[in-house]
Amino acid sequence: MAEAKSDLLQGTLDMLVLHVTALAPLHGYAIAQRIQQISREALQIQQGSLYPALHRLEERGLLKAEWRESETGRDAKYYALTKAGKKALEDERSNWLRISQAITLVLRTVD
Amino acid sequence: MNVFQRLVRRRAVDREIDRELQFHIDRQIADHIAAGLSPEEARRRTRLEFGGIQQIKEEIRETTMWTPVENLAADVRYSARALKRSPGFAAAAMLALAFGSGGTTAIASVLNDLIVRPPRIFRNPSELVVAGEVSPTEPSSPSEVTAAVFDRWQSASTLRRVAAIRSLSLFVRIDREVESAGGQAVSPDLLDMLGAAPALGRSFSPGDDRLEAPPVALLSYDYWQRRFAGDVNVVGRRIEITGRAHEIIGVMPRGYALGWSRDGLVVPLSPDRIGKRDVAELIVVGRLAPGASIERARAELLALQRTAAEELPARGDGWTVRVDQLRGRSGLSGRGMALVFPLLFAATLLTLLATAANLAILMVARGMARMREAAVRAALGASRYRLMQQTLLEALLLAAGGGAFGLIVAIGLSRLMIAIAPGPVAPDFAVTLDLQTFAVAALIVGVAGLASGAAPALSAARTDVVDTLKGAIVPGRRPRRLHGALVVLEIAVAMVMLVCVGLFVSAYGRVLDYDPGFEWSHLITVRIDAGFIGSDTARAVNRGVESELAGRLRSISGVTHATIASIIPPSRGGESRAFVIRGGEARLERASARIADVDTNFFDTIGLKTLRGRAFNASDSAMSEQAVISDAVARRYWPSSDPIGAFIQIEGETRTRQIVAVVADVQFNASFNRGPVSYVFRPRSGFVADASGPSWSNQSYAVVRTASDPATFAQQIRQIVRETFPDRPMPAPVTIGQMLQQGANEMLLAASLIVPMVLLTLALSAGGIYGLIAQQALLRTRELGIRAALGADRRQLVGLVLRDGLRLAQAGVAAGLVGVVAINRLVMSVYAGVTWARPSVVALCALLMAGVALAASYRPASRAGRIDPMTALRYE
Repeated sequence: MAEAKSDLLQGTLDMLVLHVTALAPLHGYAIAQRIQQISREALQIQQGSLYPALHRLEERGLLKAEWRESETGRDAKYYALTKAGKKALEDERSNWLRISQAITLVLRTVD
Repeated sequence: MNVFQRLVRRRAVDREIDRELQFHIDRQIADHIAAGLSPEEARRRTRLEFGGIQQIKEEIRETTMWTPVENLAADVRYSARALKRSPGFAAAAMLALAFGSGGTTAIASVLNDLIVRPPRIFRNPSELVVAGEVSPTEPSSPSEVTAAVFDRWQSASTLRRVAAIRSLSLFVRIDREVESAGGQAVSPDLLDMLGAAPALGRSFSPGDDRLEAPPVALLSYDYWQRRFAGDVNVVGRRIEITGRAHEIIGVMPRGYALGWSRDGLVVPLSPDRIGKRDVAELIVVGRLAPGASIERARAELLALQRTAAEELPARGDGWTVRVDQLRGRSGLSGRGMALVFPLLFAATLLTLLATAANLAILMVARGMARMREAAVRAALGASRYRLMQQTLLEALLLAAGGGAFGLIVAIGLSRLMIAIAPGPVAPDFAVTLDLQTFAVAALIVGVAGLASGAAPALSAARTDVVDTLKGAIVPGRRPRRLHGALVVLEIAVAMVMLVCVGLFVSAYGRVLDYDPGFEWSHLITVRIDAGFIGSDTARAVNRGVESELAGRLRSISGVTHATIASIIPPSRGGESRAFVIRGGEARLERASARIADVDTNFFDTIGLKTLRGRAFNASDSAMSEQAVISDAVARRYWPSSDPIGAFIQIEGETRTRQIVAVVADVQFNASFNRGPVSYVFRPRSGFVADASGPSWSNQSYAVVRTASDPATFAQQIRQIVRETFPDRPMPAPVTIGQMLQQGANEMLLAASLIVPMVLLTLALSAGGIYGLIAQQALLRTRELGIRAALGADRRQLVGLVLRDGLRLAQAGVAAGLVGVVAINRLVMSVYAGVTWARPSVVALCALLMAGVALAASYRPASRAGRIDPMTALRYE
């Protein structure tokens, strides 16, 4: 149900989360900010989707979470990519590229 | 983390999510403020952006693995809350469950311990059997076994072991006090064969039944508790039994209650105690050999019995053998309770059925009432599975609550039944709750509840959400048909039960008002217990003293008659004995009847009419070679000729007797069975030693006819008997009226088992029928509203609903009649010739049920009459 409410394609939020956490451990707020920044505000991340996704990824062992001091001095829950997460990210990324290329191809042909 | 840890850590995880989200919110607010918003505005904006925190948490919970368990817990809470919101429904459903499962359990438990199950104290009780001989005249009640036959049965290969029990009435001298005690003489290896150990001390040893063996005795458990206050030092004590010192070697196991006269002393069955070889006095208990069936044992015992024929010359033809499973406390209920048992079983089953039906009704009603709620929840995203689960959970919760309550009901009810049951229930009787029955009963009722709960849940799950929310719940024909079927079932069950109760009541009435065939209202009687008398000479002397007693009783002023007899009508006393008819035309026919030894004035005393001939005359020297028969015997063996002058020879006697008179029948009356008793009367005086005495007890009765209320003479009679027999125990005199009342009490025992159950079922059914019919009317609210809008008047609407109820009542009564006929068949097959289902009782019950159905439809009908078309249509 979480996916259905998202503005993103099913599964893409997970991929984006994995992508942004690949660089450095981040807390939820920062993950949302980063995705919005990178996409130049094109992708609005719903908190209602983000947090369930984070917990799901943690549950699946793709992310590991840790409470540590944030830049404001307050404790926050930081998510970091695990080894399995890294591998999943690779898979998803190549998958995505292949599919998006295929879709672009199709759309062009129809045009 | 496993599921359990997650559950335990639930709160901690919850808090963590809270903290995590709060951090996010605070950061977002801070960022908005940094972007130039006022703190209030920043907070407001954040709240809008963020959405519902609870919802997020819910989704987090759903995405992680522990949700199924979590959901379940939530559903349980939800169900509990839902039930709490409708306490009426919850209470009704739980009560139905509790009384259905608890009531059946209580009845089954009492029955089980009383008459169905062999005593638990025996090893492999299913191998144990009771064998009896059956006379051709009383095929439904097997008699005891003669020693001659028992001897031969001991060689049976289908029985691994055989033991005999002979009931005795004994005098015991304990520390100078003479008292009477019940007693049994048993084969020394009886306990060994049964596989039960004595409660104290040892059992008999193999040689203890030899005449020269040192006399030993066991005490029954009750007697030990009552007379010796459960003293463990009783073993080794010496008491005097029938004038001979016996050593007490032990105490019988608790719960041993085989045969009759079981409360008292148990002695070895020595040759002097076995009685006449040709008189049936032994209860024979055996253990089937491995692989042997009751049928095969019966065949073998029958063959062996035949070989004893020449030792039983007076016995007629047609005697057979009956082998029954050892059942109930006495071990003998496999024989006698043939009718009561299936009836009680049927009643129990019907109660259960009614309970299940009622629960189903309640659940269906609730399911329908909640269709809208189900639709709302479905619209909000609840899955069908969750909706189903919800209903099932509710049913389960009810089942658990009802079951727990049911256990309490079962315990309370079984105690109550034992407490109010008069008569045959011994003091050591404690009901062990039959948990198996409880489990089965609870299961049946629970499954019924679940299934009926599931039906509306399923339809709710299939409901078109939009339609339902728009208010168009139009239950189709299905629920209405289900309703109808349930109403019919309920009425039918209730009717069968009502007929049963009606018959009990009328049978009870018959017990009270029946005419025993003689003038009983001014009779009082006292039992004179001679104890165990070994020799015929001693017996003859005893009879002389008893006759003197009769003379002294006659001298009381206000007493018109006094007599001594071996039986006291209308109890079906006297043993069944065979006799041979030696007819005038060289006819030789074998017959049997109960033997009664009476004084010459017996018939005058009790007011029994002489129909033909002249009863015993004291001045007649040939009296000792005479006999008087009852009309029943005359009708049976001399259907077209005159029995007067015919000669008979009674089993156990060497002489021939001539029939001198036919007297009117004495009617016995036992539970559902009643009818004339076949008697052959012998004169007591002129009695000589070659006749065997009465059976085991050597009991006689002094019967006294008084001019006024017989009960007021009790004290005087007691006084005189005590003076005549100073060394004998002294039972209290009872009037025949009181004895008849006792017969009624036996009836009460059966009634005390059946009637509560029936009333319970009736109450449940009446409630169920009412609810169902009311519900049906409710389902038609919309239709009725339309009819009202189209101009139907009040009378027409009321008539419509009433007709509905009446139609169901008709169908129910019809189905009930089928059930009654089926039960009637059953009864007829057990007791030929008993009229059971009396048309008047059945008709009354049918009317009553129709009345209940109509009364149940009345309120809904009158509501239908008042229906406001606008409200009705809007309501839907």
